Amino acid sequence: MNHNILESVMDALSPDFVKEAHTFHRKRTIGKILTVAASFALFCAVSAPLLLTSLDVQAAYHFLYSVSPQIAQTLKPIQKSCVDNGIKMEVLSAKIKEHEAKILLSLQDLTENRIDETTDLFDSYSIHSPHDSSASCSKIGFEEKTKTTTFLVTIQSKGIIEGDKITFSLHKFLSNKQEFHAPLDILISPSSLPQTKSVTLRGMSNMDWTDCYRVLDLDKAEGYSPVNGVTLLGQGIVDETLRIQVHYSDILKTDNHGTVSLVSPTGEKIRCLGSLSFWDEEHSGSFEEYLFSIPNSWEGYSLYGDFYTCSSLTQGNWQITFPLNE
Amino acid sequence: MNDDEIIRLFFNRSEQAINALTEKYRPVCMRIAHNILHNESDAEECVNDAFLSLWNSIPPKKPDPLSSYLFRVVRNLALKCLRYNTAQKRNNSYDLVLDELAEILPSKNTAENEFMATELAQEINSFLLRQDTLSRVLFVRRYWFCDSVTALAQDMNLSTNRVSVRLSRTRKKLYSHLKKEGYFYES
Repeated sequence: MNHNILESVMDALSPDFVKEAHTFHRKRTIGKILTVAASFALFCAVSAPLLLTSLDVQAAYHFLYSVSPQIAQTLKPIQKSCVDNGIKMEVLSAKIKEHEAKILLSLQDLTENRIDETTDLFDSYSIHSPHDSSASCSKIGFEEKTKTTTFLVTIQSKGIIEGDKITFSLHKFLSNKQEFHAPLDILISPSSLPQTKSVTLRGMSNMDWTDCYRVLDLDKAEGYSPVNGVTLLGQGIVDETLRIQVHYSDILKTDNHGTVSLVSPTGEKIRCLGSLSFWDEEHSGSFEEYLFSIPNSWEGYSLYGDFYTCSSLTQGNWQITFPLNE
Repeated sequence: MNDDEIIRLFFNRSEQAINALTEKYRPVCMRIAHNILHNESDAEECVNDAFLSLWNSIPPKKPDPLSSYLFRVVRNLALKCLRYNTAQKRNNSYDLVLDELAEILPSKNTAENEFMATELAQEINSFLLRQDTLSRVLFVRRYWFCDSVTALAQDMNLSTNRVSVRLSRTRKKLYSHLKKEGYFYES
């Protein structure tokens, strides 16, 4: 499409969306859209009891849910709390008003200190309702004394009514998350002829896509670690850009991530032009290489890091089912 | 100071209105202009021109929301400046942002363009309304505010990969939606 027309299209974007984008502050939420084939409902009504006796109950529930959420939820027994791995999950209230249900859930550590104010469900939860719906979950509070964190689940659906049963499942969560925002204790003196290697990328931002890319070939053992889980490996000039390479360990279990910025002699924070990411040998950690344009002189320039790390992943199998009340 | 109070200052022709606007919105305005122009002094000029434009248009206008109106003025002035500076030369970073969207939006002949832009904008608004908040915010921040993926990842506390994937999914869904609504001719 012609860019001038596209500009006109974008110019007519709703002012409400622009305001929302400007004022939005992210809590961890996820939308879940559930779709069913209604023509299977009759089949399921007949076959469900047989399925529940002949197969593993959980597997049968998931199968049934995939073809008829209404029947699956009707058959699902109520269980308002559960405990696994020393963590208790419980529904505190489940109210419905018109087409919206608001549910309060709590997670409490009964044995250790794995629940704290940073507890994050790490997008590993699922919400099952009897009808097509959109749902979100956000953390609303933490009580230090009881080591309990509370979540608000909101479900919107035209079909939802009092008495409908909702199932909330969780498999893992993060806690003890930490943020690091500070200057990096490293001098900018990039090698103009660094050793490089070609890697297969797992992601990139602000760059033209290519599967393979030339990056700095650095030894992780010689890196500098400003915070646990993050290692600054080094720097160099490649393809007329300054490259800063960082390793984030165990990203699938920790959600470790961040960014590096340049700070100019006047104190201005300069974001990178783009970045490349690729897996480490174990396929558990990720290297990120940040690209910056090169100024006339490096004098007075420094690096600044913004990193988000986590040191505690708790896994288990928590699932509760409860009815909605008016 | 809230937006109603700022507008009241404009209506009273008080110069405090510009001070209040500067204090509350200048950083975001600078970001929008800078995202498009990548030049500090040009961005600053655009923002100053936008403030002057608001001074001249309020009253009689009484924009609601004020922020969206101001950001739109900044964006349009920055685009005008960009087109003047680059004189149709492509491959600046703003064009690269637009390229991401252009490839999933339909192309029709010139005579239909004006009508299509209005209709398509309505369709995209309607599509965005049905998306979850985070996807919608990321879409608007990327394609309207022209924020980089890295900046979005930082602001939203997400990895750059997750932002890229989420944007890509939204573009694909938009493409499917427009296709379903008959925006693409079968050849």
